[in-house]
Amino acid sequence: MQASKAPRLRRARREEERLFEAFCRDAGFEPAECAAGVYALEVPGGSYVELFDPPREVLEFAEKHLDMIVYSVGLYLGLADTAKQRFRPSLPLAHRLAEKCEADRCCRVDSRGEKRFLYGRQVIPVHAPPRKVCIVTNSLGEALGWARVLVKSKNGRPKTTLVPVIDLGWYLRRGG
Amino acid sequence: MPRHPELESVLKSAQEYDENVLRLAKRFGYLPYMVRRYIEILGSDGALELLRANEEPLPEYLRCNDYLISCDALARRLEGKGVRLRHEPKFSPLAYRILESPVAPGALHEHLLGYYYLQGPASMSVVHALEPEQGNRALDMAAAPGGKATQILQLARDQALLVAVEKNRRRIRSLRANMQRMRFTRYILLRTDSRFLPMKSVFDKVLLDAPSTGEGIIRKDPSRRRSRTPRDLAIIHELQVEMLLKAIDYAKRGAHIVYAACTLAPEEGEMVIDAVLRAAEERVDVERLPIKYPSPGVTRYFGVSLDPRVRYCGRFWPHIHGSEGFFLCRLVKLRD
Repeated sequence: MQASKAPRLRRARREEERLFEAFCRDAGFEPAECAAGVYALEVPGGSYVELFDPPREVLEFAEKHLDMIVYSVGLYLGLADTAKQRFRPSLPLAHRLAEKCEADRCCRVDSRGEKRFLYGRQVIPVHAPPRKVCIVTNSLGEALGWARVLVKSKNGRPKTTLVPVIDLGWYLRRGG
Repeated sequence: MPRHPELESVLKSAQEYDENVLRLAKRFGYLPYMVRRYIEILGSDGALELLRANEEPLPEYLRCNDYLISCDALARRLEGKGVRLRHEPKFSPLAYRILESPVAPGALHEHLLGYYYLQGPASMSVVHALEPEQGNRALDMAAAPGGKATQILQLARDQALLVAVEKNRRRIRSLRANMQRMRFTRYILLRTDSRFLPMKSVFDKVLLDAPSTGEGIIRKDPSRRRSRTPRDLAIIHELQVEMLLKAIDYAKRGAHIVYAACTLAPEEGEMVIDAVLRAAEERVDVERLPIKYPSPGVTRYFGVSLDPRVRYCGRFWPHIHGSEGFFLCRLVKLRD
């Protein structure tokens, strides 16, 4: 392994954690529900970091045997760009939080909406909480991805649209 | 580079063929040395059956991810979408043959949700031979695209620690996407050459699904009938021996090491095991496979008697098992 160029795992810096925590709150979750511990994978010279929540024993192994030089470790939370103050959430984070979607904390789409959303298209939800961003679930409560919640006024009435941030169909569109 | 001492003589013998070999090679579109080897192992009738079986495309199979969904519930969901399945537990309790699907099985929402993995049936058997358990430390030395890596964590209910290694930049992205899609968390992915890991005697389970000539997937990729020469076979054999010796180094005492290769070639199967048994001396032994379905390993090949323990290894044959061709063998590390 080329240590100098390889991505190295480290504890997330406070500004990276703050970005992640703000995103969680925007999505209607407490940061502690989103992750137990936030670690950043930094590529030397890279403009952003990838955030992970590695289980304790996985982290200990990476520290003891691999000098924290890894490609991916534990649950992937998303991508943090502190320069642009942007956090792009991951699909594993959506799956984790979908289990906590009771009390209408997430957006829900019907079967037609599910198909459209998984093609990366905007959809009209069956339910959307008043948030900037939400986990999109189908009628069975399965996470389909993340969307921005867009509310526009049409004929004097508010119309809510979900704009995909990332959806499960991404796996397919990127070619497996 | 380590290699079997009889490799050259075996490859030379494989290139001495008669009219019958040439006729069959021409009829089925193979390089003659390949047909010569099939006749050596199976006899003329068996070789003909194999060549005919390789004409049939490999049926599609899925491995149900029972970590996320019960296999019965998955089957019901898919049948509701017009997919016809047949459970084939002889390969794996998780194996379902896809008899019919109205759309590509990789495009169904259940696939995107991680409820199944599209995988060859013999390939699914390999991880059952490894028997990963909760609390194990496992290493997958050539992990992309992740069929076996995800299955290791699936069988251990995401309660083992898996280190999955892949050298290729493009392939490791697929590996990562599949680990995420199937929703496992207790893993570390490394993008590096697994021959050079900075550790020793660390793992309870080591899987080496070795790079191979791919002779076992002729049913999927017919170009493999002519694309690998005896010289290629010798090069890949040396790499396989080297990697398996490293796998033994990484394993703890008492650990299981499963060697697998998607091939029908004894040069990539039994001869690799034989070479490693010679080189590793008393450090490892061959164990009987804990799965019953495969045929036994080949112990005699072009006049060369291999270590009799290689009969405990297993082979999947397209004409016998209806699968892709696969070789697998389970070793146990006796001492450092």
